[in-house]
Amino acid sequence: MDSAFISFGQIIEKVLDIKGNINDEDNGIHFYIDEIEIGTPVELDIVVDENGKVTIGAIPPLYRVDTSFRPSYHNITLKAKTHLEDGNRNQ
Amino acid sequence: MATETNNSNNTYWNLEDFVDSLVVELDKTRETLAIKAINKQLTYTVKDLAIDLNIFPTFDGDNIKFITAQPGQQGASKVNIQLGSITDQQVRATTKMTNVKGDTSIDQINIDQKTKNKLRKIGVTSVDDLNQLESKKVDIARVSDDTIDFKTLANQIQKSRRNQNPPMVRSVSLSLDDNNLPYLHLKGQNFSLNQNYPPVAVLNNKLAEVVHSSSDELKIALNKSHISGQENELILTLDPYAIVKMNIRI
Repeated sequence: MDSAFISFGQIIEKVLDIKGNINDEDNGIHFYIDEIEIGTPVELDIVVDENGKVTIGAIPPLYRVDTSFRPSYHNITLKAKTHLEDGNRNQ
Repeated sequence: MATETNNSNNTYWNLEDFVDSLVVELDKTRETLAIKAINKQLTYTVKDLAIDLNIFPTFDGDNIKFITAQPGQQGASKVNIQLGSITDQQVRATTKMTNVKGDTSIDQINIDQKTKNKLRKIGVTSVDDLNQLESKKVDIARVSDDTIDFKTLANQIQKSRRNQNPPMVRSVSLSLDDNNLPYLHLKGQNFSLNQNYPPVAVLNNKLAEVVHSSSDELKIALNKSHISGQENELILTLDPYAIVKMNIRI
């Protein structure tokens, strides 16, 4: 896999590495994000080894400069939910 | 068809392997997030994942393969893959158990690749699948446009199963029965596995009577005409798929 890319699993982990809590102690308000949907264009590097095993490398757009030679952007949309059990939601 | 540009590693892949890799990555992520949840109170777990891919498909007559569009390539097709959450109960209800003990995959049968592909197209991946079709009186020849003959296939399956359980001779001895008549006593395993096929023994080109046969034992009655010196050739036909030839020194 090209060194500019990281594994697909790592992309998901990094995207979901969010705090998720919104606290306003002055007003005594506490929110948390229950469900989140994130969509992003990505570049993909798909490598197939001699046994047919596929490795998916992905990276969000690296450059923000408009060029005549455009990368092919694929899209991923990820829907995630809090890991808490229903009974723990109000804790 | 796509032309390769700046990435020489860009290769064709098939959808099954791609989705397998995706699922493995998602499983790894789920495990990592579960560990993270031990120390961090609020973590997130993937519920749904959708991927829009810009790809160029190709069809070689049997399989469709894809290659991802590279920078600068125009006219790619779009493929949308959506992976949703599924419960373990749903998995059990919709998934066939594979590698069940005693079942034989069609990959293990000595048949040509074309026939294997045709069987896969009609959902047959193992001998159990074939037996189920047979028990429901499905005419495989008709559904495969007369290209698969069940009788030939059944023979190949039997042969393949026999190859997995080949006969093994551990010892051969000369003994006398209750009437003081000589017999050859063979011990081993996987001798007689199918009662429909009684073993046949030929010693020095002369038929000899098999007086007892089981999976691990054979007794072959002898008379003077069978023995011709020290070196004796014994040919055992245990069933249509297992023939043993050995030299016995008496």
